Amino acid sequence: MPRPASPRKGERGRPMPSAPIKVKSRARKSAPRPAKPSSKSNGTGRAAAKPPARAVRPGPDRRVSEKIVHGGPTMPSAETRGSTSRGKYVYCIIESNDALRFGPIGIGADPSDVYTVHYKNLAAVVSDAPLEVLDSTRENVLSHERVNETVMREHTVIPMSFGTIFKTREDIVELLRSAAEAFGDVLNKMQNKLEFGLKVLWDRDQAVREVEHEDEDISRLKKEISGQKGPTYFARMQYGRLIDSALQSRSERYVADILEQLREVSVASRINKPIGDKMIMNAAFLIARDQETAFDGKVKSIASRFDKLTFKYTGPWPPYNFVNIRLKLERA
Amino acid sequence: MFILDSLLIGSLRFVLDKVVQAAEAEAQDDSALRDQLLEAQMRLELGEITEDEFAVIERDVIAAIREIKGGQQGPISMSPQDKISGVDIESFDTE
Repeated sequence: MPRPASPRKGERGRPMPSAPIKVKSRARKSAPRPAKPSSKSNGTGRAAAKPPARAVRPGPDRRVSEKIVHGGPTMPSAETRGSTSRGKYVYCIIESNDALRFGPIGIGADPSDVYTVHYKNLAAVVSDAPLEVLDSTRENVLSHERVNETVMREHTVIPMSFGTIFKTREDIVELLRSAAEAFGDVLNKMQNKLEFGLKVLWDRDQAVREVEHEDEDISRLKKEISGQKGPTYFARMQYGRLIDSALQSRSERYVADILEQLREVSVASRINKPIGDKMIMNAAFLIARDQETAFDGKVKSIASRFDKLTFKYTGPWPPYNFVNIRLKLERA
Repeated sequence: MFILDSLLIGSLRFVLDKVVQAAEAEAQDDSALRDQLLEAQMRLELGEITEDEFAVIERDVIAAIREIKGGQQGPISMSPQDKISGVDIESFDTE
């Protein structure tokens, strides 16, 4: 299912709101920019692999990777022991001539070392992992993400989608070689750009009350229905339809307004399908590093203006929503 | 965390270049299950369900996904069996 990294107008079909249902009342404004990483550990014995707390914004002064002196083209590692049951899990692709090590933060129950495999100036960030299919559990997905977060503090990354395992180092070198030009172009384009996520939720009950209050037709129909002993099926249907379309246009207005305000501080944006029935907007934004503060400020001011909406603001992420490379794999 | 979906189907990935496999993949689409997982994660974040409740949902959904996928894409080797036969890139458009 391809997900084109379309520019901002690429709205996908948003499901129509269903008939009014009872939802728990929860109109709170979340603090913009929640401490994403700190909430990401699910505490299942992986405490040792936690990333550094990210209260501090990653900056150029924070060195995470340790450059090692390059003694040769290969890294001493599992494959030199000729193990056949170990593969290489790939997290992302970066540009680097130097062999890098990122520490024992790899995916799996027993976090292994994360290091680089090179072809010319390209490098794949990998760790040794069993040759088996990895479930997309939250823990595994977070491990993958944690490595990418660490790497992207200093590098522009092309994130690999979750769960890609190669048999050997040579296979990865071949991947880098065969798509080197494409990787180079994308890395160039993504230089100094970060992705942020912004999800907006509303209290549907409250929105229903508001449209009932503001819309004369709905208000009249509601009185009609509640005034009768046995309201007609037709009146109820009509009421439901009116509510649905009023909610739809109200949420579209909110979304258009929010997007418009963020337009000038972002390079591109992308609208994804909302999750669940309370979400009215599920967007990703590509931001130039030097616009990060401006974007941040904008989100905060929007969040305080729309105090009835809940904002979930996360990032920086690797550009998951703005890079889409499909490698067609021919299997014998 | 909300990143699951992007992470699973976005960015750099491999698609098997076989008509049969493409048809298979379509028939075995697990996107409804992934949506279920995403929604559970959101509810966890909003405090509507507990870690334990989430763990139960996750276990069930992952088991169902595993059933569908059943090792659909195993480890990748580039040669001689597997070859990259095409590279298809999309990225954002600057305005």
